[in-house]
Amino acid sequence: MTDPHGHGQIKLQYQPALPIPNGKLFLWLFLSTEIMFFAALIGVYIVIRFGAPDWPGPSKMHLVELIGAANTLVLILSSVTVVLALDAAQKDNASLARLWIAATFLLGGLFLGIKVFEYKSKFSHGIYPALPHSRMYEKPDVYFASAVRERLRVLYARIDADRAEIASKKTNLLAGPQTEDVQRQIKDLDDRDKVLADKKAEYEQAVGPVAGDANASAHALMELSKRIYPVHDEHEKNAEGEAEHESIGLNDKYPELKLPFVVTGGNMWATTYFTMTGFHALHVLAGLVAFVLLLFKRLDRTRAGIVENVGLYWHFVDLVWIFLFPLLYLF
Amino acid sequence: MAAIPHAHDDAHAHAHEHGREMSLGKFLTTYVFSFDHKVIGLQFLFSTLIWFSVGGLLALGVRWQLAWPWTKMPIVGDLFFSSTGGQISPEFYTMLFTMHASIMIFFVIIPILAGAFGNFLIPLMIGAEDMAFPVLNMMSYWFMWPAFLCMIASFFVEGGASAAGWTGYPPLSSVHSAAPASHTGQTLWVMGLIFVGVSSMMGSVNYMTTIIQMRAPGMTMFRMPMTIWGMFITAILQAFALPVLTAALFMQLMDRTIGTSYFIPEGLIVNGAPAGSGGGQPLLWQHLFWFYSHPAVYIMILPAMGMVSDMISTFARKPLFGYKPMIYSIAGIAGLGFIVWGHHMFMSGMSPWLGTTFMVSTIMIALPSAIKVFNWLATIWAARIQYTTAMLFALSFVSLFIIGGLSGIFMAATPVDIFIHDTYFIVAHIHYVLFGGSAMGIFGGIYFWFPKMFGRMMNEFWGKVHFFLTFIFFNGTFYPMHILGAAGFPRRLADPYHYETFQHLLPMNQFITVCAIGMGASQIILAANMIYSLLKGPKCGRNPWHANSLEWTAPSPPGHGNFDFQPVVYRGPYEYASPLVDDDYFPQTRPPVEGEDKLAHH
Amino acid sequence: MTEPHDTHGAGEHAHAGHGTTKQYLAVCAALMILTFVSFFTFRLLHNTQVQMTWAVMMAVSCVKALLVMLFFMHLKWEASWKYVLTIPATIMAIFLMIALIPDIKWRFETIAGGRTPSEERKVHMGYEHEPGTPAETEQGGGH
Ligand SMILES: [Cu+2]
Repeated sequence: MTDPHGHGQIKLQYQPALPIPNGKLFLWLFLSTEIMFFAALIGVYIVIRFGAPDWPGPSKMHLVELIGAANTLVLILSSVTVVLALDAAQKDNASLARLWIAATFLLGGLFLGIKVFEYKSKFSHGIYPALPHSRMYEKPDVYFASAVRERLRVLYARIDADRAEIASKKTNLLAGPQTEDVQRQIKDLDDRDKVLADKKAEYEQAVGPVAGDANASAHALMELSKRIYPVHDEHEKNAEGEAEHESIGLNDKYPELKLPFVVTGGNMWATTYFTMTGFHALHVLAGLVAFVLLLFKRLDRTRAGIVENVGLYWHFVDLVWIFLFPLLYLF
Repeated sequence: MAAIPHAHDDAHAHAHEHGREMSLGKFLTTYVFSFDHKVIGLQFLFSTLIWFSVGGLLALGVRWQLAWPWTKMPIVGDLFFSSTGGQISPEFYTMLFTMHASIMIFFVIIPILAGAFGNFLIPLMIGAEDMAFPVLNMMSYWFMWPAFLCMIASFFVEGGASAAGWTGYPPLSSVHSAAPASHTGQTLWVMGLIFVGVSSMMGSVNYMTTIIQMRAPGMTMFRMPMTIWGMFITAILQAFALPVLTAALFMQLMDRTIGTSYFIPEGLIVNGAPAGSGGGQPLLWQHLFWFYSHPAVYIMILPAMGMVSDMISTFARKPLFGYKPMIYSIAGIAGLGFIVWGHHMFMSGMSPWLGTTFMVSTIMIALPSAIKVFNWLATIWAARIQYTTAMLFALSFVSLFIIGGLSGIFMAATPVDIFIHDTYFIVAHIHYVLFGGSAMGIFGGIYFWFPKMFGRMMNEFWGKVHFFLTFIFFNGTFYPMHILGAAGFPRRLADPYHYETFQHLLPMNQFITVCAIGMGASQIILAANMIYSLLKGPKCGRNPWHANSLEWTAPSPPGHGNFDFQPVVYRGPYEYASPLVDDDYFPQTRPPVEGEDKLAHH
Repeated sequence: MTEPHDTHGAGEHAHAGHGTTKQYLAVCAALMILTFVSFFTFRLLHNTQVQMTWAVMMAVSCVKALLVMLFFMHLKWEASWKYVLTIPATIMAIFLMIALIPDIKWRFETIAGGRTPSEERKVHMGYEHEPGTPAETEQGGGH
């Protein structure tokens, strides 16, 4: 009852086994659990990737190694800034520490920004996991063929509906008085109709007859899949090691087509790529939140422990990326 | 140090008197969103006991169907199956056993041992005022609530709760169209388990930090009670194994929601349509799941082993035989536990070489387990045992664990397992270990530490009635299952009698069901005893059992901050019948007596 | 994550030592150089010697990880508790990954749906088909 708070509580003494603060011990133990989490993800990736009958190379999946390398550098830099922040905090230089934390925050943000850019470029090519079925097919089989047919049916139906609407408008206009204005509108409609008709003809020409044929041969389907999404085999590179990019697929040529396409092993690539980078990005995000919270505090010597713990976490995020970068971009 | 200021007891009583007229805010911070490890422990205790009854009722549903197949099931029949005259559907049966196992494992045994007893006992037994991180501790309890809500909600969604087995094997669990319960129910199951996992992870890191850093002066690692060792090793197991399950659960969740295909094989056709993008590997789930779930069986038994060791030594009034070997064997069980998970996958088609490796490592676990059993037996050897209810439960733990452990060696051998795989032999084994082992230990723990938790004694007579009924009905329920399993009676089938081979086993199943109902009903005695004793039980002092460990030197119930004196530890917790003192117990905090250092065991 | 209890007992821990800004910048430079080593290994060797590039890149990653842990995470200057808290997790993580590796062969041989890897892919993966073991490949193929 000597305690002023009235808890009847006395300050107990302990016999700690390790010469570090509880917070730091907690953080290292927490990192152990995190290591196991990422070990599971990476282990699964190794089995899925190296046991796969086919695995698409980076260029097939529009993955640019240089961007990955740049992101690695960004994270390394942010690791330096956070360690300098700790240094400053330990030297009781609160304003400098805050500056370094702010720099770390910006670098982390830059990393996420680049990540978003990368994700967007995948999404724009139709590379993402989706239920019940993504647009990516493993092989040019009947399911792929029927998916192409279905997509074309929807596309053509939309064009046909637009043309029917134009036709009905035109009939209405023809029934009324033929002023000059109306004449011009009719000509407009005719032009629009022609554009649509040409478009459909172009699509039909480009996709070819195979798509409409329920009994298309395997070879024809293979040709179709190559027209939609030309695959550069990673072994078909020229002498300089550069992949040849000159062939352009239908989906690139007509972005509105959004046809199903074939990348062997592509679905598992997307599955692992998005999961691993996604969980890593979530950890980066959590780090950014921690940095924002730190920015509201005076980071003098008394708070060096907190800066150190957040820093340890941030270095761990960096460590994970050090392994993810070669595994995902360079293997 | 030794003179415990008893005056404080009155002060505390007074404080509690005062507490009666506290405001709502005070009530919320004291009993609901409390940072106090004791309150959090009791919150875990009561939540899990409620789930215990839910899981038990689900099991009785399973038993009803097996004893009186396709007859009107009481209550459930009228509620959900009035159109078929109260006869349940096979899918409902599948849901019953899936949810029974999931709830019992993830919502009862694990949280009651680590969450309830771990929380309540760790700071008290090592002489700390609270956990190292009280806020984190509170969050670990409140993260259970989203899990509770997910599980409750899953019963009411279209298609019903998960029915993919507690192991949730894909592709059944990964593909929405695979079964009615593979719709939303399975998603909620996965989410519930993720929340439980996060909760356990927060708890385990907190326990480890507390045990490593916050022991009272003199409380060296090798003076800690076995309960604490059990909790400590369990926390390590959780820290290393649980993240792997969490990763696997996230993968399954993503397979189900955003369309990844970790566990959906290529070319999988479900109901005439290709299921997902494919290309994944269902076997990976089994690896990741069992990488957690085999260590999880030790997470479910090691703390109980520790608690039972303490009870046996206390009531045998003898030092625990082989204290250090007990610790090493717990550590050995935990270490070996990480390299044996493949014994759940003998039938998965993995390489026979790998199977043999897993078989050998599994059988090796018998070694440290046997050391523990022999040490318990040696502890009670020639002892003047005090047959309290807690001791009876502890002794039944030892005997039933022997039976469960032996049947485990049977199925560890690949050739035997190929025959008894997916039969009731497996069910008998798991229940001998989990109910006969862990749950008996938990019951014993409740009787043993109830006085410390609430400051009142439980009724011993009704405790013994509860014990004998539970023990008899338990064996009546689960022993015949060995015979069923040897006869090939398959588990997880709503109607095994569909096969003529199994029709003669119906009477035995009816006997089992009668015993199961009896066992369920016996638990009402426990509930009544707890509630009555909570309100009207005789008040007890600090140390009703004359036990040695630190928690018995704190007030009953301990106030905020646990100790009203600075505990200093001078010896191990098992100095019963010491020749140095007149009492037959020698608390850890009593200052050394003359000649002790010459006798020093530890 | 951080609690007021940090001040107990071990709270007054002495900073055994830490690096200088110069050291940190040197480590940073080393990390960047190593990143480029990985990158150019990929550019120059990936077409001809895949397994070689894998080995190089993993070795480089391990060195980078070690640098980060030793200098940025200050493990170089910490007392011996560092072994207690880092080695078990490292061993368990490596063990888990190694334990999953037998599945690669299993998966390579039993792709459901009957697709077998192309010869080219097998060579690429450094996978040598053992003659006379075709029956094994049908295990578990009936998904
Ligand atoms: Cu097991």
